[in-house]
Amino acid sequence: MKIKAIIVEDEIPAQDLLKHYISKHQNIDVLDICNDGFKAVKSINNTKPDIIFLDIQIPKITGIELLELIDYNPVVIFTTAYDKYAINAFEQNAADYLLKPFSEERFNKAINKALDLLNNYNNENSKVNIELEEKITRIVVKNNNTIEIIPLDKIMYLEAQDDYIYIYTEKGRFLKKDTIKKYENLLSESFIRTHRSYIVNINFIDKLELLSKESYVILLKDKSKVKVSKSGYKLLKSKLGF
Amino acid sequence: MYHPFYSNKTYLKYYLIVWAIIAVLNAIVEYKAYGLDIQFALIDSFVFNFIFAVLGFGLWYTIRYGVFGKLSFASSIVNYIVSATVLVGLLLFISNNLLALFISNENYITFLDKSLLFRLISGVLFFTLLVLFYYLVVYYRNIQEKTKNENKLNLLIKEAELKSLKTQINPHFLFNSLNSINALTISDTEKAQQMIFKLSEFLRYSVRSHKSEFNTLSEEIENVEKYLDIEVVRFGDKLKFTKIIEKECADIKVPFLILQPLIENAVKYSIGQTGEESLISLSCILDSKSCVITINNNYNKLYTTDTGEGVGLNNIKKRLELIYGTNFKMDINSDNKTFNIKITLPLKTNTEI
Repeated sequence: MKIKAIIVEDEIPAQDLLKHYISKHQNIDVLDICNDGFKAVKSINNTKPDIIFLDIQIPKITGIELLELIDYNPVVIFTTAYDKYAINAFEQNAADYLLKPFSEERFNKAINKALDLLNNYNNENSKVNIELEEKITRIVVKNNNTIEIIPLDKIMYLEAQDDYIYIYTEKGRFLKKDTIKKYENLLSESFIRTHRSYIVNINFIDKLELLSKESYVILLKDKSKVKVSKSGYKLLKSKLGF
Repeated sequence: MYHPFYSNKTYLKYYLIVWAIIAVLNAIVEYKAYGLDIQFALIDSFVFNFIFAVLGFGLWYTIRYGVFGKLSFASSIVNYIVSATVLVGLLLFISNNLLALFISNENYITFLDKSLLFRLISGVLFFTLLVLFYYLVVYYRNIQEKTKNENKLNLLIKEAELKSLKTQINPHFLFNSLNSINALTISDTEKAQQMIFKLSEFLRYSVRSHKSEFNTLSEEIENVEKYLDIEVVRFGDKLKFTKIIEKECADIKVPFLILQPLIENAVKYSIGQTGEESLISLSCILDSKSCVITINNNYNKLYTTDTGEGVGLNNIKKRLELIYGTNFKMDINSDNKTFNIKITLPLKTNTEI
């Protein structure tokens, strides 16, 4: 059976180069070439390729955000001119990290690693999960068949729900498979983790209500409620200075 | 070696005139109050004061190169007492012996002996005045030097700041271009060659910055076109560029490498982040006092991953501030779909910073 691959790359010569290098490997079939993140998410989730050649700086959403929206765990070969993600990319299914420009020998090495990973493939393999070092400015979610980009200033609060988080905005809530812990230090200064299951945007807070002795709840401007733990209360107190 | 009276001939003239006046006054006093013969009075005071003038001239060196700022307060006092004693002693010794040699009049010799105390006091007084005057000179010169150094330092700081703000070539642009060339060597060698030449010319232009802070607008635009030729190879004909340049603008001097980073910014935010058909337009218009450069591009606020204006634009603004002070304008206008930068620069045809 042939191995299915998809190229995610917005520059024409770079696409041509990958096609050319891959054409030497007759067991690999390029199903699609996508030049932006939106098209790529759709194409990848539809055709479920085994290998993704993924540029990180692509239009609409980044390659990193793209991976968050993929339903399964393909093997990923990153291709990029940026090396700031390199340290964290060698995880589980990230077969390799090709820095542009790369030679055919270097490319073949990456292919061999990817094939090794595919041969030893089992469902235990987790997703490529890149630890971000920089703060993020938005969260990308998949809502049915559309992709939503939610800027941080539109987010009221996050709520953890098993393996998922709910992202609450004024336009409604969005579901994303992710942990709340990951976001604790990635968001802007406006966000505080008030509870094991909650991160709140202080700009949407209306007031703090006392439920019983030493037990509080946050009331947001749209009347929704956010839980506050003891340590969360301390954080709020120091941040808002009351 | 600097000497306030020697290095400037006008000061030397004044120094001698002042001493001549003192000598004349001295002679008048001797003639009127002590009843000395006029010719004796004149010889006496001119010889005495001329010797003082010569010794006083030399005093500068003990102050400038021996004492000033090097000794503690107590030591300099001792130093001055010693030099005053030596100087005044020398003065009296030389003048008395010379005068006794010149004039053998008995009346005068008596006067010479009697006036010793007066000469001593006036010697010390003039010594003090001279020292004070020299101190003033040294002090004034130090202030002047300090201001000069400060100005020099400020200029250096400004130069360094300008240097650091000058656009460095974006390494990612370079790596991506090399990747494109790598691809073209397989599919279209002629195009690969062309791209190598274009990239080289672009790099050569970007590193020749040491020549001058300014360049003509026409050369800046030429460089931008080379840059865009390379980007078109990467992104294909989805990337479009138009320009409207008034003829008169061609020879206007603008800060070197000011246009390219603005265009690179436009490329990044248009096709780089939307992946859709993109149009970048550049216009340069001249009015009586200024040159207005406008850059327009489509973009989508939703797709931008960074907040605010970005480092690139901030650097350009800081650089313009250093070059023009408050004498320029940089307006950024954006809605959700278009991004517009308008820069108004004063007309400048010389090459000073």
